Amino acid sequence: MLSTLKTSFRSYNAVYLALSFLITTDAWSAGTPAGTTIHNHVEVSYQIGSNPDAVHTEEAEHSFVVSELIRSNVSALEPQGIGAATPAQDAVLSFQVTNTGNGQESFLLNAQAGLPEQFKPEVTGLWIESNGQLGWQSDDTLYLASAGGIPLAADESETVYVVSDIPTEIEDESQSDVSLSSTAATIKASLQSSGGSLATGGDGGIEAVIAQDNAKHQDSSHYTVSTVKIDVEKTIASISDPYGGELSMPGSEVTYKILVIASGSGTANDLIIEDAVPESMNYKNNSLKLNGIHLTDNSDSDTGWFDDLQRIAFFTPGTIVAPVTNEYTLTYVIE
Amino acid sequence: MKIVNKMLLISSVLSVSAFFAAAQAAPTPVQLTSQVQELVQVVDQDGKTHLKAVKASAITPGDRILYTTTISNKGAESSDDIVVTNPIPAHSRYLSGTAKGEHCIITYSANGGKSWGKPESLKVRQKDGQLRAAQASDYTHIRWEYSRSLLPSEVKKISFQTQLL
Repeated sequence: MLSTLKTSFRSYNAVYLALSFLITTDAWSAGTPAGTTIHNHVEVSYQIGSNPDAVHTEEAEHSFVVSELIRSNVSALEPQGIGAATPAQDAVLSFQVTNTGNGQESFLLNAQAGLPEQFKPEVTGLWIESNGQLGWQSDDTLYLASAGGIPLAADESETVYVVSDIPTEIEDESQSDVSLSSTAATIKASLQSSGGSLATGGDGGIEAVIAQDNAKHQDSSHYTVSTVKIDVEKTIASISDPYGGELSMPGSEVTYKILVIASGSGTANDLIIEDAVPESMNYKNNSLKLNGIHLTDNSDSDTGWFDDLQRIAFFTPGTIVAPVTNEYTLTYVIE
Repeated sequence: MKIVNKMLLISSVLSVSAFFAAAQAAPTPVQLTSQVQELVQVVDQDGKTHLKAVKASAITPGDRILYTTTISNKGAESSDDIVVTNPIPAHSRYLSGTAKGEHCIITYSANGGKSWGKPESLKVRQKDGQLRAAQASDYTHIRWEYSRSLLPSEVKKISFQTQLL
């Protein structure tokens, strides 16, 4: 017997892998700040003749100023790539750009999408994480090349999102590489080879040493077109009446089974299944289960919770990799 | 590897003389100069890599630095009991085994010059109060005790290496 089904789900055909932010700030160490003066002080004591009281001393000093090392690191935060639908809007790849030099430097960003033999994603924008919420949102900061690059202090990082649209009718499993590069904005730095220097290119006009060819570093990831089909089926698994039978009557417990079937290939992300409490029924506390394993009613780290106010059960598998089938169950009590 | 043709940034050598014995009126016979060079890797004709001392220019974190002190006796008499003390410069890590000095007894301090010893005898106190063997990077000072007399017109060089942090 099927009851009124008010289950809905929100998903994306093929979607983005969860962001795995590799916070690598501590891995870099810019070292002694540019402009620091290093002093060497040496002292000698000695004696002349046989008079032990006639001890002389001499001192010598030498100092130099630490130059600016211009160096950056770009690191793809999803090096394994992400899945994308075809067509798709706003497919987001994340990168971390770090100033691994020892001075203040601005870095110009550039994204290249699609090698000659690959499909061509259209990069609609580079965005700088700025709203404090991980992942790209439209209120993050759009990068504008005309602004002179992103200023970074030594060891400072920014998360950069490459946002692209994926063309239509791309063959399943097709891949397209996307690279992000950072180039030091100091004048003529990009003309230098590794080890080259600029006499006054450093902070405050000190000498700058270019650590990378063309003062540039880049990393890449890729989009893979994948088609994931999500089906949700809801059925009644069992009815248990107050008298030990299986009749629908006031007080009967009706347990529903919700199958979430991801078919095809690829990854679906941000998947949420909502199940509103049917009319004339109430949710039975602590009855949420995933594949037979109990889920708490609270909104916490497991993939289910019940909202008392809205009277809706939420299942939040988030990212799933097809093909896979998950079985959720929950119980309502007839008033 | 850094190229070797960088411009000299700032190099200043300052020699200061002072007397402990105020009664002495004669000019100081022993003179001291300090020199800084950068050590860069070069590849010889056989493809082997060597370190070469070049003019210090555009030094950046990670660079290897050679400090050389020259001691000259400009006086008419021999100088004895010569002891040279060199604190490890700030932002620098002493590189193990690089302190050189012919006919010198070289000792180190890992506590700001309060006590001295050979590397195997030095200890440092950890945050938990326990002592552990000192590493070269713990050294704060190096001391050379010249075991001979420095004769008139004689010149001696001592040196050590650090890495800029």
